[in-house]
Amino acid sequence: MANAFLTSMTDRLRKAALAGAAGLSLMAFVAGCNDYTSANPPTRATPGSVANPNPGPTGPTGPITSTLQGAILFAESEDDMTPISSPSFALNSVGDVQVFVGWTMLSGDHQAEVKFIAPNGNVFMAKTVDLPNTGKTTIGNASGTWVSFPVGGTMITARELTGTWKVEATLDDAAASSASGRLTLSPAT
Amino acid sequence: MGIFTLCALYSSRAQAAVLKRMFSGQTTIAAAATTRTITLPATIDLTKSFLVFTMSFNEADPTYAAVSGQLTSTTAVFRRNDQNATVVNIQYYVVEFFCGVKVQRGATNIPDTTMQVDVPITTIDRTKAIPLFGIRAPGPNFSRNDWAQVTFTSNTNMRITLDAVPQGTATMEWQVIEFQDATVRTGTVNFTATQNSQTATLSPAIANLNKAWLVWNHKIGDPHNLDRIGEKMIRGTITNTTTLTFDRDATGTVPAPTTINLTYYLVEFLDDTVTQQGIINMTTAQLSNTATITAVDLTKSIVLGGHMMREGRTSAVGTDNGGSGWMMLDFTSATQVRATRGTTLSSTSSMGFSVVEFLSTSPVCFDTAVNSSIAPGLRPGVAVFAGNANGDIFAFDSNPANATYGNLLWTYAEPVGAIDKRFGISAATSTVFVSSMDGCFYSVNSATGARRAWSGAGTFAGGSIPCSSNTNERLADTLAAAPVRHGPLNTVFVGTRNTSGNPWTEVENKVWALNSTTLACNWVFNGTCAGADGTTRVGMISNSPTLDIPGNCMYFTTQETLATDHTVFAVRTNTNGCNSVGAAGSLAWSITTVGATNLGSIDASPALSEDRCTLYVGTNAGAIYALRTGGAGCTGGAAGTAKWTTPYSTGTAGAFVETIWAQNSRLYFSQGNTVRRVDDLGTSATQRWSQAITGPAMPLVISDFNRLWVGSSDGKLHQLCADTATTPCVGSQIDVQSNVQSSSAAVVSSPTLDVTTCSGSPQTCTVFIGVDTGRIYGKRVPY
Repeated sequence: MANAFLTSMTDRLRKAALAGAAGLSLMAFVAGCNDYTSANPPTRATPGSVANPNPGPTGPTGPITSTLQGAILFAESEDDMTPISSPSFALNSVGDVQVFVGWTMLSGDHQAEVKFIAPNGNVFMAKTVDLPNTGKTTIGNASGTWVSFPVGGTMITARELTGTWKVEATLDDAAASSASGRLTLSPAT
Repeated sequence: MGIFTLCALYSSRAQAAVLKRMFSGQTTIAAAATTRTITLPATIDLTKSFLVFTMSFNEADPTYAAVSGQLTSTTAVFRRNDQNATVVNIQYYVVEFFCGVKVQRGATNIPDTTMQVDVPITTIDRTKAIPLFGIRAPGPNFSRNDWAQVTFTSNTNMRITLDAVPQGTATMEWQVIEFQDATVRTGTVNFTATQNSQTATLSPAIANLNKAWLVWNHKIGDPHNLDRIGEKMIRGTITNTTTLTFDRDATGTVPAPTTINLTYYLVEFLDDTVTQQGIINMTTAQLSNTATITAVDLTKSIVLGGHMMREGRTSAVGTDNGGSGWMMLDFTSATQVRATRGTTLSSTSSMGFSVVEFLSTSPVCFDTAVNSSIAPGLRPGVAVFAGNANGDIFAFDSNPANATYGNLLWTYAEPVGAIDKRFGISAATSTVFVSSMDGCFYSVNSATGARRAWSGAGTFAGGSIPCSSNTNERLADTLAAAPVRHGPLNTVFVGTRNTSGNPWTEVENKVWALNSTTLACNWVFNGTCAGADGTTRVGMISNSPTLDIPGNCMYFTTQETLATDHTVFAVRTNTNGCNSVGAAGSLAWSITTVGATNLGSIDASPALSEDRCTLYVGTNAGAIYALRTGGAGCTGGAAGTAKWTTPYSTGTAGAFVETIWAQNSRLYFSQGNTVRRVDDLGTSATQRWSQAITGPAMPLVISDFNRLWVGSSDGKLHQLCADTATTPCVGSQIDVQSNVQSSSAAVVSSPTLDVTTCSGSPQTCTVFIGVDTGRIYGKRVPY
């Protein structure tokens, strides 16, 4: 059996190898583990804002002060970067969820690490984004950037990883300046 | 206005420990020697290895009898402070893991001016960590400075506390061991001068006594009782699921009785590790005795006592000789444990021991640190390739015959975006092809981890690492589909996942045909090699194209934006491919409907029948269509028309996972929290069976075993009966589950089979699976 068995499995392996989210009304500004509701709802973001496409600064040049407050906002797509409240998306109706990551009182060059944490608590994806001194997007009092979170057609939809996802952002590795927000992915309808 | 709730509680990220190997033996620190060095048979990874040992001697001066031990990557070294004629007998175990255990170690001096030292340690999870140590203080008596209480005062600090300053500098060699798939709870127990026994009550109760291991240490307060050794030595036992008992034989009276301050660490393993506990008593005349245990695998088991792994209780008084209570423990057979002491001192003694057997259903595992729930890539018998959601790419030695089995072979050095689907692996060209969510495409030398080419320099010119949104670097907004290589054409095909915004939209998708060696563009379906868009509305491509190599045809599926968007495409991979006239890269046919039914979005790759005449397409609406390919020699109808009179419907919306496994008219697939087998009957389809499984991955089917395996989102690898016609299933075979992670929420990938590992009678093989906790595990199948 062995040879035929291995041959058949090899064939199967070869064949296998060959085969091979929207609007926001606000939002909350958050810092640490406390919940804050912004007294000044953010204005509509500039459509088409995307994460800085160019290699970023080599390190933070601006101060991180104790007054920094992080903001995590969500929008459904790059075509409509209007922040939405209670972000919730059905798996079959979303491509990329747009996530705004920003901080108040932010100046200078910075970097942020953005973690997308699955409902089971495991970090599904992490990205480092640049927050250069110039070119940041401003929403309300927060300056930052939009980050794409691919959902449609990814393993998230294939494996139906539904539930409440958490987005955590940390500025320049400083835990004190972290921010977080949540979004809900629901089964295909 | 929404308010976010923060600080959600997350499940633990449990990581099953997988033993790599264990070295054990008996040795001595001989008379006139202060050190004994054991050369290990192989170089070990110190971050995943620990040393435990027990010992016996007949000596009252700790200068000659207090022993510490420590590992280097090639040795185990045992030391005492000075030599005399005393011989110290040692039983040691060096335990190395592939993963699931993290170890840090050090040697800390305790000067003669202090009783307490804080030792900075790398951040630990105190709910999973224990300290093990040996301390050797200068003599001349076993007294207050020869015992130490060791606690974690924070996640980064270990505190060593004696009851008196050493008489000279004492040295503690220590290890902090984190069992990532275990819980550790700790507590303190104090003895007043007249107490012989103390208990600790556990709440909640121990879940399983056969997975509990009691570790403990203590300091003693005996300001004057230099010769009452029995007051100082403690036996610890797990009495029942809610009680730990610590006791001693001799209780001080006057002039200054001994107090005890004890810290215990109760380890409860959550993985396959099992434990046993027992007691070995000795009469006043016995130097050793044995206890019967349930049979263990001696290559995976350790046996230890209490404080410093060696302490039991003794009735000895009138002496400082610790040899009647500190004992050496070993296995005389798979079913017997022996305790040996260096002297009786005409005293009774009693040892509470634990046997820990590091069992695992995984023969090997690798650590990628971050979500790695895509099926691992494989060069059979050589290496496993893993990518994770950070974009890290790793190669691990997967050859069990190698000394470096399980070791990291290389890490790709350059930043790459998250990886969402399988790698393309070409053994012929020793290349790993990587589609990244950063939109760029990479080829990596599978032997060295060096970059061969990338889209920013091979497909385009002038790009610079790291990949950016510059259109001279990336092929798309994101690449989610696994690449597929056409060997005869030396071409790799990459489908794009353009979503919206700049510079592409969700209907400006393409399939790139790139030279496998250079990644130079051969042609682009629905675009140009310069990156311009074509004129066909092509939605996001979520999974790899499917190749009909003899037919020079490629099939792929897409999402739709408008109901009129076509979502199944056949493209010629060579001139006049797809059994029709046209150039390479041209469209042979595409469809948006079957009959009057709109197919809708399709994420899963189409699957080709073995005769290449039928294309099985699983739609996101939960239906399977059997489409005629119109290939050479195929009959029954035109390309793109339905073979079945009605499609098969699962009745549940949701994308099929990766693709359908089509074999001999049997279709195996995962969709909608269910794994199914559906049979193609020619003009219709019928479901043979279905099995509910949470978040199933694509199944791996091995007909010769009449089994299929599917990872799930419940931390398991499920083994299902494939139900081939010749070997029907029985009830007990329907769904046999094997824990990959103790966490019931871990996402387990589709398995990848290494055919070179198949052996034995009955035959078993190793499959590799990725988990979103960042681990790659091997599993022997069938199980």
